Amino acid sequence: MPIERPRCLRELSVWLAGSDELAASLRTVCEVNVLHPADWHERLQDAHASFLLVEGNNAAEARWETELDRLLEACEGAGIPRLLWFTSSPTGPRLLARCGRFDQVLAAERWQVPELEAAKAAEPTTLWPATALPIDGAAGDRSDPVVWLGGWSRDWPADWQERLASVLRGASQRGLRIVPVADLDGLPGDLQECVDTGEPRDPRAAMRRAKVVIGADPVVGSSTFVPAVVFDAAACGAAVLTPHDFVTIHEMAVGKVAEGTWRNMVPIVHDGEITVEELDRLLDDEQYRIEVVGHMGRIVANNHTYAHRVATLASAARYSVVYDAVEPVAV
Amino acid sequence: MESPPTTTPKIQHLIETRFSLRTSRNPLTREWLDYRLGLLRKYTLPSVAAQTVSSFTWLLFCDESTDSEVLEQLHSEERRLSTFEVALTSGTSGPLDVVRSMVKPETDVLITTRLDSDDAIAARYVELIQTYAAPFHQSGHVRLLVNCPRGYRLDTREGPRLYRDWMPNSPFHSLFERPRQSEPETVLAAAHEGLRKRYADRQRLETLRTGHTGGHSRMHQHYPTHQDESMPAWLIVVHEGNMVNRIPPTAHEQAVGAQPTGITLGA
Repeated sequence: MPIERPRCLRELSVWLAGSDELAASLRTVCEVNVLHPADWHERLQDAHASFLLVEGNNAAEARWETELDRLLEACEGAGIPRLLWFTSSPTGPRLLARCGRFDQVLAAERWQVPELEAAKAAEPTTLWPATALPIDGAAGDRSDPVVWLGGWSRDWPADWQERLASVLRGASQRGLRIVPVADLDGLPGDLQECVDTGEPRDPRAAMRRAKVVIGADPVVGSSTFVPAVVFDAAACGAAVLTPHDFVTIHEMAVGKVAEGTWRNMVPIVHDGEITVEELDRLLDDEQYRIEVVGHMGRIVANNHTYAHRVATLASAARYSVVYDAVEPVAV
Repeated sequence: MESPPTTTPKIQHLIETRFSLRTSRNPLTREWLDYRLGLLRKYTLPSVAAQTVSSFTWLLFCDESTDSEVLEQLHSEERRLSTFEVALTSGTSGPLDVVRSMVKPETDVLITTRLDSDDAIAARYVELIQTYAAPFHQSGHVRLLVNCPRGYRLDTREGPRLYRDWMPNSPFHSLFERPRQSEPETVLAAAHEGLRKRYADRQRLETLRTGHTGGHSRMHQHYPTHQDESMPAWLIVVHEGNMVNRIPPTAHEQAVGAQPTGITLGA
């Protein structure tokens, strides 16, 4: 299993212990060899790896409970860098207990880092989710005013449920459609009428038909979480509002809307009143919405695709590679 | 699998630091200059002197009206550190003019790195940044911004207190360019523009803040950006003279007595 230093993303070969969704996203950029607990050691015989990536979420934690230590041991013996990326929140106890066995631990949520540091993780840091979708959505000619790719959990903290429900009630005043992509058990009764009960919709198609997408994660109920849907929606040409607070971190998406006037391109909304206000601005001023969408498309193209994330993961494994240039997004 | 061509580009790496550029009609006071010189000597100079490679030039921009005794002290540091160069600016020759005049015609990849005169970089910082020259050269990018999100904040006001921080838009950006294809913009592009106007108008600015409109905090909106997570790469010194000196919520405090890993500071 020779380890060759990759010179570009195409030369990266990743061993992944993680979800099919993450594998599909990574494959848009580099070679991915998905490992399974039952036969991982056989797969390693004839494949080389630039690094091992373990996805930190509940599913991975449960599936790899018995085999993970042996996998990490094998990689350590072969000199293969081991990375752990918590793509969900909160962190699971079994993976948290093994943090110290990885060369670097990354978390989608910045506020997990002190917890990782306390768990003896080496070099814990932050890695946001990204979009694997092409950035090709035109802002105009859309049939749905506002869409949420929804999911609900009774286990979410009460204050998060309250915040999200208030935001969705505000959005319902401007024609909200909830497209189920996860379990909606527990969704407040008055919001049930917004649920799209027709044929199952492809999430991407739903975002491409929406003028505005509510950027709330359908699974993680945390105000500080960074939901991938924000980047997916922007890639699909929808404007985004979010009840998650991450956007303020170092001006992720502040844009100039007029001389001397700067606005957050992804407004943070905590209640129905502000949601209505922001939706009015986006839905009643077509030109403004088109400008916002163009601006966000450029930010995502420059910063938030899986090519960006894979290049950063490679840096965590001590490889210096950059992603290829993409066509600039017209604004 | 098709591999990129193997080429070794000719690199030129300039670190740009604004030290005593005028912000008003009046020259900077000696008291202010001495305070900033103390910070430069304690934090910035030792960290640059400790770099593991010497294939770069550190430009310290000073207005020609800067107090002559202060300039002499800077020139004495220049004699001690071969990578250090005091660059005088004037109303007719601003920092951007200085940088552009230094770019060699044979340079394939120009790297300009932003460094404030009261901050510090890790000893391996320049070496790390330069490892991206070949991948950039082989890519299709006209320009590429490289940022190291991880670093430290050192609050010197009480304690000192050390924090770990993470900044996707840090004030330590490095901009990679192809000067043979297009005129360099350099990492201080936005600041250059502001300074050019200021020199032209000699107008008083209310504030001169890092992160001002179009500054480092928004560079990622204009350039393709790569984030390198391989090490904590920088240290921001929080002191009474900062324009922005709050500890952000992304920072978390380290144990009492903890030292920033890989960064050399003065006594």
